[in-house]
Amino acid sequence: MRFTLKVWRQNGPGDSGRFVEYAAEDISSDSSFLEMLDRVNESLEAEGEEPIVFDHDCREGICGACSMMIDGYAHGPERGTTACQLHMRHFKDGQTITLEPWRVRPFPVVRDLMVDRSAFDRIIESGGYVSVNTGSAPEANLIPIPKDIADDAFDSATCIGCGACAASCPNGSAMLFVSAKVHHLNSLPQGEPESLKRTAEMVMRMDEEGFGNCTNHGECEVACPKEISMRNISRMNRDFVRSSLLARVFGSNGNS
Amino acid sequence: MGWFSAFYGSSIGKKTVVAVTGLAMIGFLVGHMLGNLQVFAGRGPTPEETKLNEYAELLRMEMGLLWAMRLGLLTALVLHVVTVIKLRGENRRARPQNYAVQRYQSANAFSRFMMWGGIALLAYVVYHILHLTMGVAHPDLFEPHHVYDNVIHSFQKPLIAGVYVLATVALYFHLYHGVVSAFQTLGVSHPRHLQNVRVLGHALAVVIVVGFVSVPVGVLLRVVS
Repeated sequence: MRFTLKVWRQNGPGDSGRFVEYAAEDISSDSSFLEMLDRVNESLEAEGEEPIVFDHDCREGICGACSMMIDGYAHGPERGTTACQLHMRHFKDGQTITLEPWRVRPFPVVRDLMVDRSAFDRIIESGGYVSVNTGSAPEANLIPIPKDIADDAFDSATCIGCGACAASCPNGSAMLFVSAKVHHLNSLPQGEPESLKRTAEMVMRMDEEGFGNCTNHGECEVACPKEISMRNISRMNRDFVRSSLLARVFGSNGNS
Repeated sequence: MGWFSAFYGSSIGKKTVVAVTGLAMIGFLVGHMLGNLQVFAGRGPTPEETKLNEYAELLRMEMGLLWAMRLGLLTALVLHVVTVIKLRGENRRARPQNYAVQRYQSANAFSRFMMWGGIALLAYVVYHILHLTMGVAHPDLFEPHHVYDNVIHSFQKPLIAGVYVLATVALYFHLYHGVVSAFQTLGVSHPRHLQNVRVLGHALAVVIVVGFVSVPVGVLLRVVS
C-alpha cells in the first residue's frame, strides 16, 4: 500500500510548526500505524533528514504513550484502539493521512507529534492513590468486594492516561481521565475513606493545569481507546458537590 | 461564603450553577407556557372577562410577589450567562490551537450550537419584554392590561409571529441538549436513569416548544382572533 502523510513538524515548544508532506511507499497492510511511521523514518534518515518524532513505548495498547491525532481522530478511526494497535488495512490505498499532536494547552508539544503529558501525572499525584500503612502485604481476601463493583472499578481502572479524551474534546476537558481515576478508587472499600478529599483535590489540580470544562459533547467517550464511560464524569460531579457541601457543614473535606 | 467562592472557582462548581439556574428557568418556562395557552380560551364578553387577561391580572394581584419572581428569574439568568461566559473562556484557553483536521463522532448540532442558541434566546428575551411587557417595541400594537388584544394584534403580523416561532426553534435546540446535560452535571449517572432523563428531557423540550409555538401559529391560522 502507499499513502501520503501530512505530518505536523515542530522543532520544539517555541517553534510555530508547519505541515510537511511525505510519501509512505510499499507499506504492508498488516503493518501497524507506528511500523508504517518507522519505515518512513528509516527512509528519512537514509536521506539525511530528521525523522518524525512520536511517542511510543509498549506497542501493545496498554501504556498510553502513542498519542496522536490521525486524520481527525484521536488514535485513528478504529474504536477502542490505540495508535500502535491500529493497522494499515483500515486505510484506503493512496489515502492522504493528516497527523497532528494533541492540541490542548496543558500538553505542550515537545517535538513534532510528541507532547508532554506530565499534567496528568500531577493530577494523579494530587489524589490518585490510597494511603496504606507499609509492612507485610495484607491478606488478599480480607475485604470482600461484590463482583459488580469490582468489575465496574476495573472498567474505570483500564484508563491508560493517553490523553485522547482531552485531545478530542472541543473544550480541552480532561474530565473523562480524572473521573476514571477518581471513580476507580472511590468505588472500592480501600479508596472510600479518602474519596471526598481525593475528588476535591484531583478536580482542583485538573483546573489548575488549565483543562477546559465538560459540555457533554461525548467526543471523549468515543475517542477513548479503553472505551471508558462518561458515567464516571457524572459520578465525579456528584462526589465533588458532596465534598464541597460537607466542607461547609463540617469545615473539612468530608474525610478527615 | 468562603465555601461558595471556592466551589464557584472550580470547574464542576460553575457547571453546577449553570445546571441549577437552567433548570430553574425551565420551571418558569413551563408555568409561562401553561399561562400562554389560555389564549385559546378565546375572547370573553368584555376584556375583563377574557381568560388570558384574568390570568395576567392574577399575576399582578400581589406586585411584591411578582417583583420577587422577576428578581429571582433575573438572578438565575445573569448567573447562568455570566458563568457560561467564564466557562467558555476557560475552554478557549485550554484549546489555543485548532486541529487542521478533526472529525466529530459524537458532538452534534445540539451540543455545538448551545452558545448560539443561548445568544439568540437572550436577544429574543429582550425583544419579548420590550414588546409584550413594556409595550415599547410596537407601541401601536400595545395597550396596557389588554394582553389578549396585544397578543392577537401582534401575531396577526407574520413578521412578529415569525420572530416568535424562530425563538422557539432556538429554545428547542437549547433545551434538547441542556436538560440532559444539566442532569448529567448534577450527577445522574446510572445508564437506566440517564436514559429516562434523556427521554424525559427531550419530551419536555418538545412539550414546551409546541406549547409556545402554538400561540403565534394559532393566531396566524386564525384559530383565535
